[in-house]
Amino acid sequence: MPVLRAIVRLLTLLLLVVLALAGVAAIVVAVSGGNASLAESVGLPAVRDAVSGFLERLEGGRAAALVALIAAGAVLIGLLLLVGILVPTRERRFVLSEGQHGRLAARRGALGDVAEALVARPRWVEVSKVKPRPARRGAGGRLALTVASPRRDPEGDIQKTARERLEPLTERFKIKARVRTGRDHGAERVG
Amino acid sequence: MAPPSTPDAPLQAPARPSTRGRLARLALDGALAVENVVAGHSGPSGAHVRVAEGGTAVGVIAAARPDGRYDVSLALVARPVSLHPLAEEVRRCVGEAASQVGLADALGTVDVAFEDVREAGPATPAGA
Repeated sequence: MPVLRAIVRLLTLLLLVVLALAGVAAIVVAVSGGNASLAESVGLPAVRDAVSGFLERLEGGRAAALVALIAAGAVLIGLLLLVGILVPTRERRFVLSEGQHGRLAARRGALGDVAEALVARPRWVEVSKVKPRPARRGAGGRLALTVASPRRDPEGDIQKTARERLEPLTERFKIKARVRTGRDHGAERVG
Repeated sequence: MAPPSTPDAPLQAPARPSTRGRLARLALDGALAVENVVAGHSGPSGAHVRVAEGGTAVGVIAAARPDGRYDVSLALVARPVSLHPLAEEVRRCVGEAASQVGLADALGTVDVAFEDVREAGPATPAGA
């Protein structure tokens, strides 16, 4: 999603630059006068000559597959750009709770550090990866942890204990935690 | 040599901190007094900084509401402990601090945001 949003921003900038240049060209042609039209001044007849062969093939129905492919691509790109514009940005903060007394929030990194501290104490497991993902709207979100025990504990025990240790987060807030063990990536969703 | 005083010049009353400023300072001091709160934080956009006569307060914003009260937003750095009890304790301390100086009625909502987690000195174990 951030990539789509960046592409949308870049395209918007490019389109504005093109629009500005077109405006400047129109002004220059209008001010300089002469017999040449704006289309002739920017070389549109030459472009027409260059693509006339393709247009003739298109009219003859000989490039239907290519045109369909290009049209489908254009529709897909358009849809992706719409998604980039319309889908709301994910909050950088976790909203943990919200009520009449105020809002409790935590930055993603801070929540990840707390989750790691909760699970790893006292060095029972090694937390190799913490990935907090706040909800797009409202409170809560998801929390994915990858853990490994240096003592070769059974995976079920590792996940169960990690789940219990995350309860201060998952029970009080709308957070779904997902615990993976580092050895075989078996995952269990909790919360 | 001091410039001569002009009798017609208006008298300058000493600047008195506003209710908003007092609440902001009280809230920050109250929050920082809570165990496991390490420091104030300037917030995601650096807006949680207030420059006042008493110095710079990092980690708090107080905003006026239409009903005359003030919403307080705190951005804090905490130790890696369970966040919910810590936030409740921060809210309680802020409320108490406001009550002690007669500003309880002026206090609106108290937003608490933990911007960073850092170990600093002895800490209560996580989840306690």
